[in-house]
Amino acid sequence: MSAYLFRRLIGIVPVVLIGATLIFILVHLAPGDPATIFLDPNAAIHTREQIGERFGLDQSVATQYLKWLFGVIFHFDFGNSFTTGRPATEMIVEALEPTLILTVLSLILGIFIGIILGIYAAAWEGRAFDKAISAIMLFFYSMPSFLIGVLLLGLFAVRLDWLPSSQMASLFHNQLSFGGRILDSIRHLILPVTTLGISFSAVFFKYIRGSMVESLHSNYILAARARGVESGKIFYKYALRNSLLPFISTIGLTLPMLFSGALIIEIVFSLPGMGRVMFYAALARDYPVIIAAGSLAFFSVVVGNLLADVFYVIADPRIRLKGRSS
Amino acid sequence: MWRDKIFRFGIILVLTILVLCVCLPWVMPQDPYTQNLEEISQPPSLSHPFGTDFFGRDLFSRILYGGRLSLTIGIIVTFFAVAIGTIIGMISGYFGGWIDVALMRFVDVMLGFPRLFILLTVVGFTRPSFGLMLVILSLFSWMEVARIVRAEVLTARERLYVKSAVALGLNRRRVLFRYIFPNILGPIIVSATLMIGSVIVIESGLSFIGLGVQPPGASWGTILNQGFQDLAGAWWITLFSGLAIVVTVIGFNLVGEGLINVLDPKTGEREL
Amino acid sequence: MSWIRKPASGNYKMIMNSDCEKLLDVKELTVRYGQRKTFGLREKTVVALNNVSFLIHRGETLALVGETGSGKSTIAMSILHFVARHSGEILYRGKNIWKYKRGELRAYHRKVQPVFQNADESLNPRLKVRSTLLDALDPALSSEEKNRRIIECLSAVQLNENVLSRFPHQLSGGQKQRVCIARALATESEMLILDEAISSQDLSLQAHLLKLLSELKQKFSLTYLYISHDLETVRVIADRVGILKDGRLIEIGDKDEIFNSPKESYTQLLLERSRF
Repeated sequence: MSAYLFRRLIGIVPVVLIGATLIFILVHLAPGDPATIFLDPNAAIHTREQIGERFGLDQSVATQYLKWLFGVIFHFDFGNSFTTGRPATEMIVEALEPTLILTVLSLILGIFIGIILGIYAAAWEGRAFDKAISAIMLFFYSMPSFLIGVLLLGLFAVRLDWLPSSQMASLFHNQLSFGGRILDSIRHLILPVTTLGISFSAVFFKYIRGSMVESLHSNYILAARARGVESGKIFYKYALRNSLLPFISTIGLTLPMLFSGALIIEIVFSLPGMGRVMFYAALARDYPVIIAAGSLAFFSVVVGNLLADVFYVIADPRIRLKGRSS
Repeated sequence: MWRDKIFRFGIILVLTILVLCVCLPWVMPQDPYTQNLEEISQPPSLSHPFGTDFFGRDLFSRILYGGRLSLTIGIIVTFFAVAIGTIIGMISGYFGGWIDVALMRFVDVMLGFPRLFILLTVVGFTRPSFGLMLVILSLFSWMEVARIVRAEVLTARERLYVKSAVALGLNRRRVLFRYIFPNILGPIIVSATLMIGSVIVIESGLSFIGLGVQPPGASWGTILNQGFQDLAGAWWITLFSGLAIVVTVIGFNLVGEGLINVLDPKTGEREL
Repeated sequence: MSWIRKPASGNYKMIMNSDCEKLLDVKELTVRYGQRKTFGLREKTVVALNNVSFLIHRGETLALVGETGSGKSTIAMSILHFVARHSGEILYRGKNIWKYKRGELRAYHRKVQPVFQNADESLNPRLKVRSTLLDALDPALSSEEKNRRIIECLSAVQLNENVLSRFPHQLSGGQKQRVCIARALATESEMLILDEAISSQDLSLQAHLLKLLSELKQKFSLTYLYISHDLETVRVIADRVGILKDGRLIEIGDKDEIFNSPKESYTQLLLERSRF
């Protein structure tokens, strides 16, 4: 196990380095001189100088690269935003909160719906309930998450006007009582969280149902049936456990999908999270912000994958025992 | 093959949409770009089955033309992504060693970037265009295929018929293309079919937030964005363009799911 | 029939007396699976073969007998150059096969051909029999020569020409195994590694294939490494017999010696069990 962990940790180093390099190349691939290309004429002159300074455009590419890498690693310095003038990392950290709230809540909702429906669909495999649920879930699986968002928004916020259509909180949020503030937040979050939750649940449903059906058909389950183990126990203790453990690492592997989903949903519902910050940074070509956001997303996905793999090893007794005996 | 219900339903769905999008624009009299200011934002009627948008353009024609664009992007991008993924996966799986390690690290890196983020970044650095979108989507969609193909090659390499072929003294290229490739074609076809749907979704997302196909050109995402601007009034724009995306993606997903059953020797027939 | 070498004098004893030509010399072969070192941290390994040494003379049939997991197949895979991590050496005509250059390895492979137990798995399901056999022929030949040889190889294994246009899944189990043998002959091989090659066939077919193998050996002056768990077929075909247990070669000697006066108690046990 320790050998495995060690190997994986070593393996992460080149991935992160290549990732950083790719981001750097991306910046330099952009045509022309960033100082003139990326700025609209209105940009302040000091910003223009700052870019030249920051990227040391007079130096060799290798020197620029090393300096950039050094600054990022040791000072966590991605430069200042062209549009607001504030440090890019500061803007990102600020935007992280709504994104995390949205993602985590949707993830919980998605996992909950996905697992429950997946388990019951597998239990009634081939019957009407399974067919109906599978059809509905295929529908949501094939639907882009932003489309779900647009439809929910059109129905509940625009047509029926029951819920707010944008932002995390009302303008007068701070004047509300404590309970009122919570209620206000919930009202704002219902639609985006439901949207993403449905979208995620379709993916998780597909996985859980598939692996449950597979393990219910496997030989050891048949053997347990033949031994006369009671069917409830077979279902929960044998099949479910064997499906859920790998599922947890699957969630880690779907991190990029979660990110992309959250990104676009924030734009639909005008939530002040990473998605919107990145979207407007992209439109304004505010690339210190783009790079900082990209690096953060990249790093968290890499760590997520690592955790997923490690968890998979811990969960699978075959792999675990093989490693432990050394 | 035809006996699999899921596959049959999917293929009928996909073929219907393809035929509609490819043939009907020639038959349909209404031009999707002609503005008619007397018929602004008309709800669905007999003359305009899907209604009109707020330039008075016929939505049915626009969606058919948009479908051409979305399907073209979906198919071309899938073709290139599958080609790149297959080549890289085969090299990685067959040659192994440091080549494998290097290529798989590279795949890890590429997968590390959320695809939408990278598209946002690149599109943000340049001006969005049709060709650029094809290139970017292709370059950032092949990793999944590469992983699948690599795993398949690793399994195939242990097959006795491949070992027998190596023992015949055949060169590596011949072993790879004559003994391994034809036998891993099934999973490649399945992932290609599923990928068309997901590329259409990504493209529509990009166009929806305004970074993909630019107006007056229209893909389904662009039209959907138009509907989003006037959600309270012209609800039919959102409904029909959204429906077009969902039905198409369902079609490709069904074909893909069906192919899994059809190509699985345990459940289907063996003929390919 | 120029490509078929003149049959060597058939009698094994005669060969042994006249010239003891070493074809394959396996020296202190040890194979481990799962060995892996990462910065000095070692993960667990399984020893599949432990210090195995034996000789195969030209023209003889050496049988290796052992139960499942005794390392029989690992020996086959090692001789076929499919095992990466090992210690010890395998000398073919005096030269270590792990030191071959790519061209030499290719030539060696064509001389030492495998026939595996699972004929179904050994044939590419996407290739017709004709293509399978064509791939085995020397590419330098003219197309008439190729055709002639394919037919010769087929008739040698008593197959009809009409199988040429069939896919493997359209053949019976016995036919598939014959195609595999024909393919092994088509490379002008000197030695066949028969890894449980007839074990999965039914008994009457086994007898038939054993007879065929003996004929082929005479006709093409082949050397056999016959790997099996079944002592009855070994008794029919082998000249010498080696007994494998847990990755070790515990006993090796002439067939009569092994069958009539085995030294090891494990060999006696195997013999007793096979009599029932």
